[in-house]
Amino acid sequence: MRKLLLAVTVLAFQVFFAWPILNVFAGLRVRRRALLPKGPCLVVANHNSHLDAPILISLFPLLRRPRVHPVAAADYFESNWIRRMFAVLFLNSITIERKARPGQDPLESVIQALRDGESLVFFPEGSRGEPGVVAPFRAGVGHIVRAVPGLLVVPVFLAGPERIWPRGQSIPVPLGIEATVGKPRTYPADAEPREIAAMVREDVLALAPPAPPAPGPRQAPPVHCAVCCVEPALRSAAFRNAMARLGSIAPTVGLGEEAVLDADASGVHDRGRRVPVVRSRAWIGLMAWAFRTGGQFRGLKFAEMVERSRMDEALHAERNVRFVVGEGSALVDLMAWFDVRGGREPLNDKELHQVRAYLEGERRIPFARWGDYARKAPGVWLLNVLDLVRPRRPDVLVLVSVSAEDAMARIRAGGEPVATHETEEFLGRLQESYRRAAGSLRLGGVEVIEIESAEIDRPDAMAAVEAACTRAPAVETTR
Amino acid sequence: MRYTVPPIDLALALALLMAAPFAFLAGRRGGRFRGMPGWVGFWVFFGGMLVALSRAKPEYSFPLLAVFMGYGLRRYFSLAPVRPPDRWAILSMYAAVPVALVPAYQGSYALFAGLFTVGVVLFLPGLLAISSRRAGLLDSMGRVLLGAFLFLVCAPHLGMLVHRPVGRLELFAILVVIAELPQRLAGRPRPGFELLWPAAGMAVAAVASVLIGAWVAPWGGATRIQGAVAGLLVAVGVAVGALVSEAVAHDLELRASIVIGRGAFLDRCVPAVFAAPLFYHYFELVS
Repeated sequence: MRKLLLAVTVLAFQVFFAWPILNVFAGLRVRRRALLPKGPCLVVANHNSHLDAPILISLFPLLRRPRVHPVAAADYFESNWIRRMFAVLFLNSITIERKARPGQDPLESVIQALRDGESLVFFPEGSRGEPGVVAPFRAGVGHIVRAVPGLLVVPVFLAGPERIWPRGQSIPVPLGIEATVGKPRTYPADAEPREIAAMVREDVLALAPPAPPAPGPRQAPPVHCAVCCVEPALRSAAFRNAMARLGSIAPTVGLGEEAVLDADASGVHDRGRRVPVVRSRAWIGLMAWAFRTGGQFRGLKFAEMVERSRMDEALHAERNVRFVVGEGSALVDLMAWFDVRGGREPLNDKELHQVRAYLEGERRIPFARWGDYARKAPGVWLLNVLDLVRPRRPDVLVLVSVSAEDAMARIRAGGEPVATHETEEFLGRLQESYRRAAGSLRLGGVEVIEIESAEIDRPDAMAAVEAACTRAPAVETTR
Repeated sequence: MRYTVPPIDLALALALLMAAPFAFLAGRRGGRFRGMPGWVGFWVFFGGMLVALSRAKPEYSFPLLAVFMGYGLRRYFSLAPVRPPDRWAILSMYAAVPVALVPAYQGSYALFAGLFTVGVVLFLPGLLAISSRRAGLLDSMGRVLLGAFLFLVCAPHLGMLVHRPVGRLELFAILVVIAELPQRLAGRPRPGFELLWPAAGMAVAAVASVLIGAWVAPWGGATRIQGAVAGLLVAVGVAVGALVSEAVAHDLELRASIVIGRGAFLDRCVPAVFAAPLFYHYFELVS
């Protein structure tokens, strides 16, 4: 009977109070709500406001809400009867002590609730903290994960409550809330609690939408520099050199063929972050295979290229990085490969411009030309028609030129099986296509630097790259 | 009881029906046209709201317009955040929504102008200046004043049009749709971009608005000449509104945002809101 009454109270609070406040007053928008699992789970989020718990409860279907409990700090919510009534009666919270008493496990009730099949809302930061700052997550979430093996943890990022009702303010101001739900996942139960907490924090932060620019001086977006070459090993070497050079003057991120690298004054670091193609994106590779994309972007390589371009797009909103260096550029590579394989004659400037517009999503490929493009340039067709990604135009393009003989010799020496199209004649034509693509981009305002393969280790070549990157328009501050 | 749909409402529905195929075909091309179907969707809602404002009793249309103004303010300030201490200024703006609407519904423009002068010119800057020690005062002030100008000064003019002959609001809606469509198809004027196509779009928009305005004006309680001039003014107002909207979106980095749909509401409603005072004052002048 008590449980039934509590459920009715919770539902009434949700329908008559939480829903109007969150949806009508505060303007709650939820992204990817469907990712929330049907079974019990632990929802974790950043915490800046008293609105956070009602928002996270409202993500669940109405009839499930009586079985969702926010975890609240006993020292705060049990300090007076109004807070206790709100926390326990209306929000159905489980209160825990933030400081453990000797011989007592403060998380015991939380773990028991999860084992009983309840869902919990948990704020691993432990308190509301400073508005807009995601503090380090405490180890408690790690202890819970370790105690309940196979527990599904749902990361959620809340943007907006910290402006609507931050700590220390008594009156909320309606300004809009965005809640972004992440993919539920489990964490290794054998990891240390602090490590698990750090992993959970990364997953929550990964969902953060680009913050709206605050009033005052603003940092410019990072400068994008792409390194292209017909021979992969040379491209990789030039990419690393450019990373090292740019990293020595400002924080730099490198989107490598397989890994994401960081560079700073101390050098280039591989922190083991691979370019992932998760299962849900594998269909792109399947499409590429079905449409027989060839050359550099065969099958899953195409899916990886799409993934890298999406990361590139996301990095544009990054303000803590000054340079983003790409090992290759989807835009330039696809333009060059289309030029070399698309027809018997090389493309003229107008046609190259058209392909660039298709790749950048400025125009749609006309329906009448779908067959033509699907046959000759399936990569371009897939990107454009399915709107998979809009590859960014680099600010600076570094083109490493190499003679066809030298490139062929390097490919043979690399030990990889030589593809049927990899002949001296083809590589020579591909090199020309890269030049034509670079020429077309130059007309569009991209600064192009051509380096001979023998020069990539010379400091003056990289000095030219540095000079081009530091005078690129994006470096200028907006005010 | 038999109800006949007024011809001006039919004309508005026809304008939207005519705009829809253009918008959907353009939307298929992608790029900057991706939002065109959404624009038609917005106008189905917004046009409906204007019809309701025009036809409903004041006690019903007043809260409707207040909700629109409050929603617009919320969307605007969620995209253009101000300094944390300036939240009191925003709160006072929400509180000012009914204050701005009362004189608008009473038809007292003098009172409205007085409140505007005191509220927006004196009160808001004073409130913002209290926390002048925080960086970004002028930037924050600009954001707050633009929000106030759009939704506390321009939008109430829609309420004032309620007092004009029935059909005036629908006439305004038709003119805005007709003026916006060619400008959106040709590309809206953006600071720093080529101006040939946007200029052509504006010219077509002006001609279309003048012709359509002259045609439908008698159903909206105006003469054909008045309709033509109002069409021209609305086309200019919409173009200026679009320019402001694009520049603000550029400054707030909404164009570069990876979150699709950010700022779509403002992009769609700002030109209409901008054109409202021009339309209202023209008819005030000629009547």
